[in-house]
Amino acid sequence: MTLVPPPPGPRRPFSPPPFAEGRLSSGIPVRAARWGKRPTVAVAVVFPGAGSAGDPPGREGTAEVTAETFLGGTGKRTARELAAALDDLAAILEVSAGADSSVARFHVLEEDLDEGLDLLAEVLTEASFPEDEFEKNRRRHIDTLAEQRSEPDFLGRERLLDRLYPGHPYGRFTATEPGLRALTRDDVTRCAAERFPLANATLLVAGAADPERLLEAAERAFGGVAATPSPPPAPIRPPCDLVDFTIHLVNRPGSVQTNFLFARPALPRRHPRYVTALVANQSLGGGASSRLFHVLREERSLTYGAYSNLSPRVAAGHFAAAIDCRTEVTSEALDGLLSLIRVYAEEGPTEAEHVRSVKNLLGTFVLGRETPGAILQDEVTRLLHGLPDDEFATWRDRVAAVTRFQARDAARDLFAPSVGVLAAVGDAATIRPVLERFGDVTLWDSDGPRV
Amino acid sequence: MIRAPSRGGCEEVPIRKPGFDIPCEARTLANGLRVVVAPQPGLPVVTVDVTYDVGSRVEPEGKTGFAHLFEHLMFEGSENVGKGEHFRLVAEAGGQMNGTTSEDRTNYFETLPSECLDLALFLEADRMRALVLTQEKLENQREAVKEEKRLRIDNQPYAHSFEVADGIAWDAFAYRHPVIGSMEDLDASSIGDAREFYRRYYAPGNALLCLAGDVEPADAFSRVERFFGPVPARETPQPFRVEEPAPSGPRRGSVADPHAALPALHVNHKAPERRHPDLFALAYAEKILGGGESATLWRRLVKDEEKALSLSVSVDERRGPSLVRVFSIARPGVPLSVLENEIEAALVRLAADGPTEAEMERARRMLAAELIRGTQTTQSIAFLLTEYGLYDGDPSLWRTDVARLLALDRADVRDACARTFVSSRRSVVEVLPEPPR
Repeated sequence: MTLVPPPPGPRRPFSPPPFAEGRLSSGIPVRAARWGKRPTVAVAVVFPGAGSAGDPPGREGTAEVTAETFLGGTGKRTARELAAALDDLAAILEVSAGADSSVARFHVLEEDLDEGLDLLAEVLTEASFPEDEFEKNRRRHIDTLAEQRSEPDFLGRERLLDRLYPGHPYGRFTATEPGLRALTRDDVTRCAAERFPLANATLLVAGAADPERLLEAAERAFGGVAATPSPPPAPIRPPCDLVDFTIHLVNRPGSVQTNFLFARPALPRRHPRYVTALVANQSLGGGASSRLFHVLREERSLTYGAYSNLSPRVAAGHFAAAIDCRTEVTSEALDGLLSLIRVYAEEGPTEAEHVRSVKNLLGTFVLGRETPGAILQDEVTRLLHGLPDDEFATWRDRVAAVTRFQARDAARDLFAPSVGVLAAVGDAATIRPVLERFGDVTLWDSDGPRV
Repeated sequence: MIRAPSRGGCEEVPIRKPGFDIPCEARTLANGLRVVVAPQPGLPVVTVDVTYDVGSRVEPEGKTGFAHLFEHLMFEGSENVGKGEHFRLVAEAGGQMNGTTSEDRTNYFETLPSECLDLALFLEADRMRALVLTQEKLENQREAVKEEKRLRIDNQPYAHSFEVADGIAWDAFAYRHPVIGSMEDLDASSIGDAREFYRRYYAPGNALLCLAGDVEPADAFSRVERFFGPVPARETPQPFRVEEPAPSGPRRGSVADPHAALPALHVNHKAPERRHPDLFALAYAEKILGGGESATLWRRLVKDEEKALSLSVSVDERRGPSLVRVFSIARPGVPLSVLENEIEAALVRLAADGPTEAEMERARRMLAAELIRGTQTTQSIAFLLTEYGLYDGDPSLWRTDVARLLALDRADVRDACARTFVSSRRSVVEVLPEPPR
């Protein structure tokens, strides 16, 4: 007897938690929500415009090293004492720089919330950026870069962004060695003062406590800090349009695979068509049931995984697809990847694919929001990209409203590989002749320069 | 038919920290399938996890990688689920799914909106009852696994060195060979192997099913019975034990790595099996040496003295003997002998003096916090309960272990380190960058 998969029961309600909002006595905006079942609290302090895209030319790496050196000590504690104080609370603090912004993320047990927030405030207002700690971080970044150059994923992303956003700050995947070598402590203290002022920041708190309690704790720790308003960082200019399709091969002798990354300009996160593009992407390469995975792995045995995604920034965004294949099938895999994207861009999803993608995005929206940290990330995204207050409250309705034809049109406008950048990482001696069948190939050394 | 329930007790051992519980109920179906239900009201999310008591440790020589290859075949269709349909049905339900293979077990899991619970039960029951194996599917997934090996091991810096380090640390073949296997053995695997493997290890009596999340136990057990009750009982394999000879180190080795940019070092020590008292104490050592910004060994080598670019300390906890791993990448110009001496000195110091009171308390808080943060999702809860339910026959036993873990003192840690960080248990592997040929 053949059995059929059981249908779902009635959809159970889910809404992201409302955020209580306020402004601390210091003027810092704050938002708090009760979320999660465990006695833990997640905190994020968002510094819009403090990302690596704002690094001065010749000082690439400023934001990254500045963010990291916040943990180099304060007016009250050495780096070692600060580390011990954080670990005594079993707290986790990470200050990291993205392309558009920097974020301090902090996790602390609910019972230690007051003490933890005091420590966070101390770090963000009294960081002393000692010369020796700055130098150690700078040197470690330089050595880390050397190590990362042995990783195919790093080499591919570095070249992809460099060619996708030529001459634009978004074209830098990470700090550069010349930029790090030129960096001084003065650059870092200036960056901290100009790009990390608390007056420009927003404090977000979520955890297993009443929002009033979370807001009170935030006021206690941050209400009295000096938060002098500072001019907001200059907006990032949009990148230039790409007009053609180019192939860039990073030579990695001894590679047993070819790692492909294709990307082309798409949309910034706040664009009205972003949700439509997300639905369109889901059918093409959003998961293991999507077309790229199904054809390239399950039908043709060319790769372990094949996925695509949207990578939105504040001033731009791109669509990207990736596969890794054994060197021997480089031609078939690349032809398969580009053909699938091309056909999809022309025809869009089938009705079945579209329905599945919408249902998948509606369902996984709930799954990804089990923890306070996940809920906080929604708020970080909303703030960073200037999205409306109800962005995530209405998100599922907007996904459900996307039609197959709208998805098709988005694919046509945003995914077609007639323009874009193909970055390939592999053994050039073997795969260069193969790639040349697809167009002119520019060869790059794994150390960065064009050969 | 459902046998008499055995309710997991909640009160027998008080937890000093972290101050929360994970209620659950356990039953066994007539066909031998063990079932654990852990209601977590709140979000409409449920995780369904089926873990089979088979991992790469059962593989004999010449069959390496087969348990993992078989895991892939489990997604390729069963009597009522066509090839590719498993992925599509879970996606359409708004769910996520995957499977993983370790040395000790293989698991399959779906996390979905809870109104789609029946779908996950249907999919898991169908492939437990009537997996459809074909030569074409085997060849397809063999290539996927070989590509996975190239992606994760053969084309990455340092990855192969972990296989070499395991090969040197262990005597028993069960743990000496990698989960992903060798290309030669993968090539040699046959559809007959797959059918025999399924028959031997994928019986309901060799598995545990855990549901965690937005479920009500009585209703959940009823649904489980509806989908899994008809799965026929089959013979279950004899329990497997890893027979590792007494430590006979120290051992040394080296590996040339064409992808590595900098030299690196593995310093491993054999340790007892999971739940052994020394393993709890070694969890403290892991935190004191390498966990957090203030960890002594990490701070000294990576931050203060800039001898290492990275350093990790981990207890690779297993059902057979375990391994305490230290892996460190050297800074340019720093000889590996310097790293080795520093690492050994730190281990010897901890074994001789034990941790300070401050280090002990810090580690204790970090371990408690880790448990709190590590059980925030339905999936992590399902994994925790499944481990104890399958390995120990009692999904609630984690509470006992948390109490045991958090009750240890400095002398316990010192003594466990003194027993573990000895030369007879040690194996060291140097990773040397080699220009590609």
